Amino acid sequence: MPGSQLGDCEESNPVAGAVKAFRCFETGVTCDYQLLTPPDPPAVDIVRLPIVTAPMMIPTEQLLLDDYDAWTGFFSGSVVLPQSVWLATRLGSFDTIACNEPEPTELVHVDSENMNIVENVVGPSCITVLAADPRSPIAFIGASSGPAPMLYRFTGTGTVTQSVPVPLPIPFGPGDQVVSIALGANTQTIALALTTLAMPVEAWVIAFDLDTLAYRSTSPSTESQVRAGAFVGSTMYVTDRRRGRVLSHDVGRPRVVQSLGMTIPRGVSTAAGGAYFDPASEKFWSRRPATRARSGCSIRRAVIAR
Amino acid sequence: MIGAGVPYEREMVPWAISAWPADTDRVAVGMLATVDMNGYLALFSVADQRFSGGSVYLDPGVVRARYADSSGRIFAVMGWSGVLVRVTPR
Repeated sequence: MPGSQLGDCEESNPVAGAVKAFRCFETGVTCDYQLLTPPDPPAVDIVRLPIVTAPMMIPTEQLLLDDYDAWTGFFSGSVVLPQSVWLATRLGSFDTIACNEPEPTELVHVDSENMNIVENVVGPSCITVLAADPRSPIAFIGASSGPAPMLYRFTGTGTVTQSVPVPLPIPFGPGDQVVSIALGANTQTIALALTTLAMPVEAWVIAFDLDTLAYRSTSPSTESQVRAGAFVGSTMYVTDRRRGRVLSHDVGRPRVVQSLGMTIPRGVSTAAGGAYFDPASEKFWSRRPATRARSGCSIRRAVIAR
Repeated sequence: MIGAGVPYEREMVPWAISAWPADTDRVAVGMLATVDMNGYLALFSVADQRFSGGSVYLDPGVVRARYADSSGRIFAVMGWSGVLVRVTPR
């Protein structure tokens, strides 16, 4: 292998689709390499719809990807419904997750068939998460962040029909921020994951009645920040940023029950949107920001040109 | 943890994940290329526990969130460029 720094290698059995395979021995570590031809990209049609007219921004912390939060950007919450997409944004504001100013949120309604903006609606301030409303295929729910987060129900035209304050589990001082990280609902319950931005670093999952938005109960604190969540069935899965865990909170019980779930590598899912639970396979998917494997086998680009 | 994989086409970091309705054996991952800071769609094979390769350019910047809708389409919210991208498998 030209320019190889793989140590001593011997051919091994290629997996399906691989041209060659090698097993290499390097400073006491055995690495398996599969050489693959570049696959065809998936055949897709792509439509792009600019939502924000402000020029593109790249966060200054872009080089610190391990610490970068994907929530930085023009959008805060978003939800895809059967025929539409709703996006929450503060036009011109880039870091939309914190709520230092009680500016209204702009809710952008997109027709997902023709990819046109249907309407822009001025919504409550500091909306950071949106989710589908199981009571209607066109309605949605949302929650805000800031010193006094709220839970809202919206019609299919973005009008608020119900709202309740989110009961904060611990008292907060002036200027403290609580961020609504993940929101979901089933046919009985709404689940909201909240986290603090500063000390004390804590997070909770709070349950509300789907129909009345009445408060039901609060989970024990994770005593850590969470940065992503996925609601499946009656369970809110959240990723614990500091300890590298996925915690499951069952909101289908009289009290929200927390169970310590999977341990995952540190640094996994530090970003909003980085968690996904596949109910079909019952697998939880998460992201890890590192670009290289951290075992003894570093990843080299081993792609054969056609 | 069942398994893990890293992309090999270019240096990219994953940011958002959703189902890939066109093939339930794969999940769609929103990637950020660390060299040119462009966003890509990549597919990760559930069975093989690795990225399938053949990533598709979406738009500049990070993929803030991804969703699959009931029609089998994927929507990518591009947080840095302020663009909504719809991906429809042919």
